[in-house]
Amino acid sequence: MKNPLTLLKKSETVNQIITSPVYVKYNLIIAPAVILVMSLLIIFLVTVPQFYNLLEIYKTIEQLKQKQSFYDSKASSLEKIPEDNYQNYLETALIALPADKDIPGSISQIVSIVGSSGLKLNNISLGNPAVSEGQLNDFTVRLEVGGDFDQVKGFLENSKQIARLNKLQSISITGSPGKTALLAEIVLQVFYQTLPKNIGSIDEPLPQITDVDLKLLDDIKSKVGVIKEESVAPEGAKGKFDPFN
Amino acid sequence: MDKIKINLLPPEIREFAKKRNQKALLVKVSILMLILLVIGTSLLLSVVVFQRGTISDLDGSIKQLEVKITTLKQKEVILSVLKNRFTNISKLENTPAKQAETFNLITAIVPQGVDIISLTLDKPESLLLSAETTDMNLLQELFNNLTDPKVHEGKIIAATIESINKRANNKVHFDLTIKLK
Repeated sequence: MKNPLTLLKKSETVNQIITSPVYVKYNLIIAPAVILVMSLLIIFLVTVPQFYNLLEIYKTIEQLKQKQSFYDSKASSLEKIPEDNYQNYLETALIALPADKDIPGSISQIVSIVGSSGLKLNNISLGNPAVSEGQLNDFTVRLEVGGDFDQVKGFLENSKQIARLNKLQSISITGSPGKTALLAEIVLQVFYQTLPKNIGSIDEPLPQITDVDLKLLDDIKSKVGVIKEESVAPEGAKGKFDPFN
Repeated sequence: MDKIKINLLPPEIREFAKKRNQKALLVKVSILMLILLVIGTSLLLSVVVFQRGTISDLDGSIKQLEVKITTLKQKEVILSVLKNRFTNISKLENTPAKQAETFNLITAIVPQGVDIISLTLDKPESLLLSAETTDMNLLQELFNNLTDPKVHEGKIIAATIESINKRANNKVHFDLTIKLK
């Protein structure tokens, strides 16, 4: 139990305060002022920061919903992909643009069209430029052939029909006047592309295989067919089977 | 009959009572405002907490989808490599070799009877042609073809005669540099 003397002293102190001129003058607004200060503290320390926090949260939720929707559609698209079919597509695409130089394969196709064009192959050599990882690379095949103009033109036409991607880099022809026989030095760029070490992040959209891509695939398949036919049935071809003789 | 009410309290007491009522009203209004503010802030905090829960749920769902996509990575790799190849194949096929086109053009505009001795086409923008003929009309036809945009489809910018001479065997030998578009 509290000491009555202490209580009496406190009561006297309170009486002093409430009878003081300052209290008498401002007693009407003291309580509202204290409440106002408390309200302002709540507003500036809690309400306003939490309001901005809520705005940020809504923004984050919106972003997460978009991400969820993107991942959801990506996952369902991936599930629908027939892996075996696409594996076959890739194998076909790798015939046109292999992951390595595949020198024997490319030389075989080029020699095949030299023969089918009727040209005589005198020499063949390879250039070896630097390789960039995951990028489109090429090496050169230098052919020294003998024949006539029509055969060289035929060779250039046929070079577009082989499955392996190639491009004429340079051509130099020398001939003796009055004779149809000429010597040609043809340099072909043969392309390949190493496989990338890293495939894009999970946030990258899934590439779409379009009808144009599938048409391209059919073109490659038809070119592969042409090469196979030429190598299987050389008698039916226009030129010689052995281009060195 | 209405009773007559007479306030016999002194004016000081009445004034004091009036001020006390005013003060009480002001305090009540202030407390009410404070309570409303506290309730509003509490609601705001509740919404924040609830929405944090939503974020947590979304994070969980996204993690599950990430795991699902990772298990399908093999398919994504095949698709990405395939698309990349198609893009590059298409790009290469749609940019035909200029040299091949030029070779076909030159062999088409050189008339039969003009013997090509050498043709060098190692730069995309120019070629060297050495040829000879006995027939001056064919030579004229060649020069006409080289200068007629309708024949060369505007692909030749300029043709320069480097040398031209008539030899003992009555053949006219000439060297040309042809600049291409």
